[in-house]
Amino acid sequence: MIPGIGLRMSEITRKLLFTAACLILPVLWGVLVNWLFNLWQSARTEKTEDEPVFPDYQI
Amino acid sequence: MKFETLEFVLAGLAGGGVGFISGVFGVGGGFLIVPVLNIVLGIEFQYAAGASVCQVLGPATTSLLSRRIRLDDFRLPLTISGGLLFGVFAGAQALESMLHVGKVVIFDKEVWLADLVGLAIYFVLLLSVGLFAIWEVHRTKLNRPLRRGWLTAWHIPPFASFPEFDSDRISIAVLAWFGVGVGFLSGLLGMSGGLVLLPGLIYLLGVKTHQSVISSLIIVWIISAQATAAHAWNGFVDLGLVMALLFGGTIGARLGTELSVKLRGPKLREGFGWLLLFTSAMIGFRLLWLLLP
Repeated sequence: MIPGIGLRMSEITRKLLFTAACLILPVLWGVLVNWLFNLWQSARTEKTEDEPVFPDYQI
Repeated sequence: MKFETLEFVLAGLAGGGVGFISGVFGVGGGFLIVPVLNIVLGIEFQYAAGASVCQVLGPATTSLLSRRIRLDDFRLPLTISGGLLFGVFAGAQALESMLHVGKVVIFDKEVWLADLVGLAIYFVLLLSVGLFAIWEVHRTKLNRPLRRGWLTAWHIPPFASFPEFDSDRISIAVLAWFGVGVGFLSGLLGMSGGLVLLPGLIYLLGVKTHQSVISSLIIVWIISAQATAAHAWNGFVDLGLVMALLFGGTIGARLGTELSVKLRGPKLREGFGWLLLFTSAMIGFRLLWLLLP
C-alpha cells in the first residue's frame, strides 16, 4: 500500500497498463487507417490522373 | 458497467452515423457521440464521455498523419497546452466529484447529478455554437463578416509573437485561459474540443483560418490523449465500446467525406448550425424528461 494514496502497487500497475492501452489502441487504429488510405490512394493514382481532393475539415 | 454484444453492435452503428455526419461537415463528432450513447443507447454519462474522448484519438491521429505538420506549427498549440493540462484535469475531477455526490432530488425526482449537469452544459453549448454558426453565415451572406480576434484586445502580460496572428503582441495569459476553458469542457463532457476550438481560435483569438485547422487538430489530439488518460485512470473507458465506435466511425466518416465534396462551404456551415440546434433540442427534451415528474 502506498502511503497517502491508498492504492495497492498491483492496482496502480493495473491502472497504468489499462491507461496505456487506452492511449495506444486508438492511435494504432489511426496509424493503420492512414496506412490503408495511403495504399488505396496510391492504387487510385496509378489508375487515374484526376485525383479528387477530400477536404477533411470545412467548418 | 458491463456491456452486451447488442450494445457494441448498436454503438458501432451509432459510430457509423456520427462518423458520416462528421465526414459531411468536417468536424470531430465527439459532441454528437456522447448525447447519442447517453440518450439513445442509455449508456451512463461517464462511460459515454470516456469512450468518446478515447475514440477521437483514432481519427485525430489519421488527420495529423495525412498533413505535413511543421515543427513551427506546434508553438501555438503547445503554448495553449499549459491551460489545457489544468483544464482537462479540473473537468475530469469535477465529473468524478459529481459521481461521488450521486443522485440529487429535483422536483421530487431523483436524478444523477453528473447526467444533469453534463447534459445541461451540453444543451447551452450546442445551442450557443449552433446559433452562432447560423448568425455567422447570415452575416457573410449580407457581406458583413464578423470581426475577428475579440480576445486579442486584452493586453495582459507576458506577451509573445506567433506567425499565426496578424498582431505581434499576443497575451500568453489569454491563450492559457482559453486553454483552461476548452480543457475543462473536454474533461467534463468527453468532447475533443474541436466544436469550440475552431470558432474560438478564429473569432476569439483571430488565428488565420488555415492555421486554425492545423492548430485545432494538434490541440484536439493533445486534449484527447490527456482526457483519455484521466478517464481511463478513473475506470470510465470501455475498450470494446471504443473499438466499436472506431470501426463504425471510420467507415461512416469516409462515406460522409465523399458527399461533402459535392456541397458548398456556406451551405455546409449553415447545415452544421442546424445540426447543432437539432442536437441541443434532443438534449433539451432529455433534460425535461429527467426533471419533470
